[in-house]
Amino acid sequence: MDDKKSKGGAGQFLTFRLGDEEYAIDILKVQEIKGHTALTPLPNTPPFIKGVMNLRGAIVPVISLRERFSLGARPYDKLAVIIIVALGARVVGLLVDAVSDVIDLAQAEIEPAPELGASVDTSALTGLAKVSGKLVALLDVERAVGHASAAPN
Amino acid sequence: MSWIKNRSTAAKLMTGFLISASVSGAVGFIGIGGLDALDKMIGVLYTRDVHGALEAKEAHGLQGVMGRDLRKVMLESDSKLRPAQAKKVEEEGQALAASIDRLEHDAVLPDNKERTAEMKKLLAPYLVEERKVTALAVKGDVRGAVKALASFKGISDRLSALLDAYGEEKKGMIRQTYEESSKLHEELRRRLIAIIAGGALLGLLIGFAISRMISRPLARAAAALKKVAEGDFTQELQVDSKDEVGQLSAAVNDAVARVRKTLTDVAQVSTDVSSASQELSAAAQEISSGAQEQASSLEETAASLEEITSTVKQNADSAAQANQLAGAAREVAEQGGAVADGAVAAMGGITEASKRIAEITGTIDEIAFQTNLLALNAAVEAARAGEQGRGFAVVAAEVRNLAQRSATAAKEIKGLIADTARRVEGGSEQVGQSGKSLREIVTSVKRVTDIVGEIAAASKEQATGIEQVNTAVTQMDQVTQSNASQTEELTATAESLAAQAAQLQSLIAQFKLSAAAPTAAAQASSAASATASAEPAKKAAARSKAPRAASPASTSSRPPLANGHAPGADFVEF
Repeated sequence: MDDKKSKGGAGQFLTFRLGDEEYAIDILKVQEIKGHTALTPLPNTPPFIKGVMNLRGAIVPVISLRERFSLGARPYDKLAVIIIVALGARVVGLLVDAVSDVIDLAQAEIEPAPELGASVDTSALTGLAKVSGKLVALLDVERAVGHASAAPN
Repeated sequence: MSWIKNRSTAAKLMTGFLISASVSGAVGFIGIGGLDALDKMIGVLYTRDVHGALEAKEAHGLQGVMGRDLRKVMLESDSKLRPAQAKKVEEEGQALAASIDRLEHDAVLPDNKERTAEMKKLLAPYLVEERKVTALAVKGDVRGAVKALASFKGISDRLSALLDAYGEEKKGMIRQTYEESSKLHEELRRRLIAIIAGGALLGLLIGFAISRMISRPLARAAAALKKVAEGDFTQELQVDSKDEVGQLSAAVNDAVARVRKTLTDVAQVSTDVSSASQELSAAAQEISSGAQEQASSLEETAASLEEITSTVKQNADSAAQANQLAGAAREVAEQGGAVADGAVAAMGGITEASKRIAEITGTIDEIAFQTNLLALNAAVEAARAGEQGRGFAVVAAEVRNLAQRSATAAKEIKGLIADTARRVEGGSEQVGQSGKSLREIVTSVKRVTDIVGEIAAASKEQATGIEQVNTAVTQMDQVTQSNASQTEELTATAESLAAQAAQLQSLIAQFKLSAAAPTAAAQASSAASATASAEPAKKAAARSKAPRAASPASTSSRPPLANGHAPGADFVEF
């Protein structure tokens, strides 16, 4: 399990869509998948933090990955879902356009992320995989969310 | 001379007669003066000279009578008679004394006075001697008486000689007076002849001048007026005086100029009338040909009108048929409209059903979505479970697969339903449009029916209108015929007018109106004669046309004229 959790390691991934692009995160980070529900906005937060939701009594902040990755704001339709991820003790909701599939990826299928230069932050991107002719970006959830939690500070 | 020229004729004549009158006045005055002088001379001749001479003669006679009576006394034998005779002698002596006194009175010249003085001296002794003689004779002393008679006789002879001398002197004076009067007469006669001759000459001269002054302009005026009478109106008199004759000349000039202008105007007018009558004739001929064309056009019009009448009848029939067809079309369209309404309602039902299907598919989609989420959660749980969850993961994957398939099916149904709904919507829209179109068709057909009805009514009106037009065309035909005949009359009138204008021109051509006139007048007269020669033929032609023209004019043309429809009335007026 720990080996599979290694960076760029093979295993089961949950794919989702942001815009027209497919992204994938490690399925073991995923706690739950919820439909898009009403959120309670919080004051004095970055725009990509859409608010908080009540998950069986627990207050869970919800991050719009689209806005987190600077892909532009867009109204969410009924296909939008919130992926609840557990990062150690922290539980965070990721608002995405739609969930696609659960895929198995071998190590060979994963390509490392291209080097784009020091000025471009690609730390959240762990690799690229080709799935049935389409490129799927593999994301490191901690970094993606960690940046997000670090950003207001 | 110019002064007298500008006087009036009366003044001129008065001047002449005044001069003549003054000449005769002078003649009379001088003649009367001469006559007075002659009368005076004759008076003197009579009172002084003739009277004296006669008195001397008488005294001489008295002396002779006295001497005889004295001798009678002497010779008287009867003494009783002698005193009476002596007394008679004495009386005769007194008468002689008175006669000698008278002679003294009549004496003018010194010789006469001397003679009378001597006579008076002799008278006293003469009477004394006489008385002596008579006294002696009365006494009867004849001798003494004869002696005394001798001395008496001497004194008597001296007295007689004195008386004779006196008488001779008086005779000489008479002759002298006669000679003087003759001289005076001669002088007077010469002067009178000179004055009369001068006066006559002067009168003649003045009369000649005045008559010349009056008669020459009059003669000129008479000559000019004679030429004017011959037709020469170019005459103009020279006006060189301000008297009545000058005024007469000026008036003659004015009158001639006035008549000349009038005649020139008349000539111009007659030329105008001539050309106008020719134009009129041409216009009348044009009208005539136009009337003929009009008549043929009217016939064509009448034919066309008959065609139009049949066409209009067809039109009316067609309109009736169209009305029936339109009614049928309307029924069909109304049925179609009802069908379309039904179709619209059915489409509405289909749409409603589609909506419900869409709702159901939405629900199915939602269920598929939730199932997918549940399956994903299950997959997540299975992944967490690791190897133990492998089978579960497979089931979860199958469930997800089913969910996705149902979602896909729902999507397809949704799409199909949406397509169906869209198509139904389009169909219902089209059906609605067709229903609307059918309703419009119904209203249009109604309108068509109305219009066709109007067309039918209009066709009827047209038919009546065409009848009226037909009547009007018939009237127009009559009017055109009367027009044609009236135009012929007009042509004849225009020709006679032209002939009269030519006659007028030839009349005017007799007058000479300007220096250039004679040639123009000659041309005019020749032209006039030419037209005049041409006229009779035209007139004859017109006359031959006239009866033909007159008969329709008398029968057919009168009623339209009476109705006041005839446009030819103008020409008739003309």
